[in-house]
Amino acid sequence: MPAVNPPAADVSKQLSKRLASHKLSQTVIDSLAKRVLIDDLVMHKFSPCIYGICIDYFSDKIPDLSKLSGRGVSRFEVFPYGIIDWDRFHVKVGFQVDELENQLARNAQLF
Amino acid sequence: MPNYSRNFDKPRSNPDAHLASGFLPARILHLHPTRRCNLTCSHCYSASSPHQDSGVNPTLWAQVLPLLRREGYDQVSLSGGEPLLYEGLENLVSSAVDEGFRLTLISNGILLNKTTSQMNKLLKKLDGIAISFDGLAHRHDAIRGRSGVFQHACDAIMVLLDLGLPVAAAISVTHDGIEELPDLVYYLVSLGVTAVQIRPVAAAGRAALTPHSLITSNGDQLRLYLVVKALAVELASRVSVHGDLVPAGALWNQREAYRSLLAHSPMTGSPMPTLLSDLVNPLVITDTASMKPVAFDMHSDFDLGVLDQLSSPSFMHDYRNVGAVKLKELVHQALQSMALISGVVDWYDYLARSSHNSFV
Repeated sequence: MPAVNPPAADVSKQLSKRLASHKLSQTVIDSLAKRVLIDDLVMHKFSPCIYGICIDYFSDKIPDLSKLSGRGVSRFEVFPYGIIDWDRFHVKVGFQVDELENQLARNAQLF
Repeated sequence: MPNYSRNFDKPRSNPDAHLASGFLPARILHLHPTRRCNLTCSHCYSASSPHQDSGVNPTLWAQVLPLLRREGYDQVSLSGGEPLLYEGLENLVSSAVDEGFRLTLISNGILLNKTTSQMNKLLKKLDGIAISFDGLAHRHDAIRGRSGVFQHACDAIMVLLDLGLPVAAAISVTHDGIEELPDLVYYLVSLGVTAVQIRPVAAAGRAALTPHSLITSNGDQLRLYLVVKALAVELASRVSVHGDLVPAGALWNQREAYRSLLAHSPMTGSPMPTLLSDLVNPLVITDTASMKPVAFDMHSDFDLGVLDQLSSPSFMHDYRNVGAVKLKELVHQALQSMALISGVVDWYDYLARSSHNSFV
């Protein structure tokens, strides 16, 4: 049986597709990863937003916000879970991502 | 499929955290009862093929699975080879079900296209079935060395769904395969899979001998990590998407998951873990009945022994005093290195590679 690709869903506008494309250089990927992988903060959600990319992190200790400096952070919010979960912090960070700006601005309208 | 999806989204206040042994959500026996396979995939870490022997003596399972259950293991994950080719599969499944193991199986799907009532009965005893994929049709068929097998794998998903069984997809990603991963995942979700597990191809077994287009570089792994995160969000309302890659810093932060092993001290005897699963998770059993910690391709110097030895009264004593100490040192060093590495890591592959490097 010949190898036939299935009909692809229209995922061309999705962030996953854009990140997977080798049209986005490895330098951009390295730079992005360097900014969004932060010690002590466990990445939970990762999605396009009006700032570029917004990421929801969790942490089990009071977040060290100095670690966010120099990473192109446009906005952050910290939610202590308090009595619900005494040692859990939810940190929402908006990263400015110039490299993806044009693509993400279009995507943001979809979310 | 081995559920290697570590729950890093939950903080350490998780009330079940004291039950953890390593970074897995369960205590897993990863069984390769045979390496006989109807395919010869170019990336196969166990170098399985049609020419391999039949595998573990089927009568052994009824003896050893109760012993391993008592050692704290609660999940059996079956792979191979193609596990549906294993002549002792019924014995194995029956013994595992009798002992109350959660039971999962990963298959290439070829034999699921012509199921018999006997096989359907067996499949319904499983708690989860995953069909393995390596890419879209052209890439999948090329890696597996046979045309049409992508379609067989997709058909298998439909067969299993018709039987009312939940089906997952286990995707191995090569360097060249990253770009088409989103298309593949979206397509499999449209077929009806309920979960997707994504791992980079490791430089093990046959993959270590093949072109670099199969092996993911550190840069590829960063890209893959971000792609999987994006897929998880995009598909959150439909399926769970998990990747085997984790930021090294997150592993370091959760190192206490290994506290039983790291606290292990045969000299003082305290605190002494009481169960093998406190020290070794996952426990891998090969087609030659060898027991290995962590991964199929761990260096043989870390082997626990063979299944026949399990019932020996001295087995655990000997392992605690020699083998577990060696494993503790390996895990300790690997965890320490997580504090120094930036980027993402496939932890179990990292341990396997380190086990070989420690003998260089």
